[in-house]
Amino acid sequence: MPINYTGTTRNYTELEEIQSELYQDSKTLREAKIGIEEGHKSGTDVYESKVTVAMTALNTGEVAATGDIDLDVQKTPVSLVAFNYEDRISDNALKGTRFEKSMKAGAFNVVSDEFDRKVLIEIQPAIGADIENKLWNGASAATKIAIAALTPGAGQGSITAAAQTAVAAMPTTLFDSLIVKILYNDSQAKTVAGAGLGNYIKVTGTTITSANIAAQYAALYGGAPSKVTDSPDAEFFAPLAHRQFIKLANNAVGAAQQVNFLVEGSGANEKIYYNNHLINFHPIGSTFMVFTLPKYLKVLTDDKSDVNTLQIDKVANGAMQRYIKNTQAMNTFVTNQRYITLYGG
Amino acid sequence: MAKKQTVEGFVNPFTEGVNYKHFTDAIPEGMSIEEYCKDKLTDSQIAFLVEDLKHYKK
Repeated sequence: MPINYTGTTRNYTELEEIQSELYQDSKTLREAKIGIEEGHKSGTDVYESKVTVAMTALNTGEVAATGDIDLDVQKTPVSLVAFNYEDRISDNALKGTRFEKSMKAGAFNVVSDEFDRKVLIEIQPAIGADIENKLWNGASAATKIAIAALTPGAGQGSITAAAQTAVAAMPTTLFDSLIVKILYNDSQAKTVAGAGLGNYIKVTGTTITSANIAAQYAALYGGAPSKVTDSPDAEFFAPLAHRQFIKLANNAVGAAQQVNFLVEGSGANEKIYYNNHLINFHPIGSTFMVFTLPKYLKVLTDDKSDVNTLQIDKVANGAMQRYIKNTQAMNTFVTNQRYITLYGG
Repeated sequence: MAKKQTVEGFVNPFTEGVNYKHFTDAIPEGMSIEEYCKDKLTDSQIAFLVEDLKHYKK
């Protein structure tokens, strides 16, 4: 007897693993290589000091006010920017999917334990990746306008036209990324205090490829003050793509091979150095690189663990929905700007 | 008034305080950046200027 069936057909098996997104590692906050300053609610005063002294011929009389010891302390208030990631979800949409199996009995129960464990849990790495991107690449609307209004130039004390273009093309964000903060800030410790171009040391740049990457790192290193190059703590901060370029350059075959970068370890433990200074790879725009002491780059925040904190609860008044909310307060800042060398700035 | 056709008092764009307005205003009309900077700047400096000035909006 033939089977007579006219309904739709469906699959009866499924891959156990849900194929998830690959998220950018939020290592700026996780590794805390730069200055992560916690414990601030709405604003932070950043103090910078500099003492200069002058040697004079021996004075056997009483000490007078000579002005030969200059104790300079400057305070810059930095406002934290409060922001959140929030939304509502309607779990009822999961009915008819694999997730229905993990919903408790009862029509009102539509929360899937499996969905929470396998999909909703990805909100935190997604937020971490977004924060990582915004810490290194992005500018506020106001800063974009201010930087666009600068007259560019090639010499020190001017922004390059390429940097202006790069900032204009950056994502518009709620706070300035570290790269943009180097370019433009309102530090009171600058040579010209207040809002304006940063006091960074400029090294003019070009489009970096595996063919010229060694020469460009040499230009950045060579442009830095000797106090920085002599410091074992000084490190490079470079775009993610440089890791590929460096390995391609180091591994070139034949006469083209020049091993200019030291690669130690592998996988998550891999470290890459140029002239014995560690290179940190972050989602920086391809125009820029930084060479400085990491502690001069600051992320000011209420609590760095905020990035991993999620409020999830049922929406009130019988709604069959849940809300999700992550709240943070953050800003970036740079200190000792005269020791920050910016490639492409 | 037409710009001068000869280079007098080269304006070095890499000097601190000189911006692209000063530099481009100093280039005589009809003269390219390469011609203006020849023998005054290095080849890599000239290459940088040519590239960077593509982004410059007056």
